[in-house]
Amino acid sequence: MTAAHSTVHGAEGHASPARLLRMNRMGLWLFFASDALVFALLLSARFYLDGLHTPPEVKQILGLVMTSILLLSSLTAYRAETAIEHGNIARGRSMLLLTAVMGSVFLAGVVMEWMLAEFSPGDGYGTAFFSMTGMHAGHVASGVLLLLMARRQASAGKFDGGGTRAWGASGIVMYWHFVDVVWVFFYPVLYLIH
Amino acid sequence: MSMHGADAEQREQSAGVRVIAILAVLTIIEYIAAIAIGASVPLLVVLTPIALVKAWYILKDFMHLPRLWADEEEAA
Repeated sequence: MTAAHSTVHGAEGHASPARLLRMNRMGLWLFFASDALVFALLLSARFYLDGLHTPPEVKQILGLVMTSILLLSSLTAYRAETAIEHGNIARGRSMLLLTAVMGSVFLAGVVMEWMLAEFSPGDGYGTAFFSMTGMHAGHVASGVLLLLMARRQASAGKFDGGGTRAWGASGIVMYWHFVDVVWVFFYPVLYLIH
Repeated sequence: MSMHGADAEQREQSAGVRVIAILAVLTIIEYIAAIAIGASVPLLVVLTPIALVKAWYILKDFMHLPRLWADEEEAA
């Protein structure tokens, strides 16, 4: 075994829970950074394809309602995380479920938006709109599944005691907030700019 | 859960409500600005910093960005 291998193995073998948590957090943030680049490219493509033009047929009220639901789901996700970190598993489970429900309502809004859209996927704005909302909805859908998985793990006692043991739930909730941050930029770019 | 833990949880949850209230106000401002401002470029100039502030609040308070450079024990 080389010296480098020995050092890496040693670092994993003797890392404290706090250090492991720090490494997990860093890994998740690196994932966020790489995923954010994909969304940034989609965002720039919207301006490249259709400048600052937004068709008047875009459903403004639906966009505002969907945005409000997603923002509100961030609060319930945050409440789930803090509850689980402090060992309040029952509240954490109910908040995770509520967040997943709101995420599903958001997805239903996206489907409704696609069905009612009066612009074509073939024109500049339509291409940007369907690709951006599609990519984002894919992340929301995976987030809903992850939230339900976290709830199941909470029920199985995986996060009992909170603290560093709650990292699994905390990481999933952070992913949910990341999806929310993406929408913070997508909403004005797709709906409000004209 | 101890009383101390319950108090800490309550404090953190109140902080979450404060952040969501700020995000709601900024979203309403965005929406009104889009109605009130007719020209594209001035609207973009108004909406961009609002989106950045909203993202910053989520990153800092909900995603705990400062924990990345906190001491290990403190961050745990």
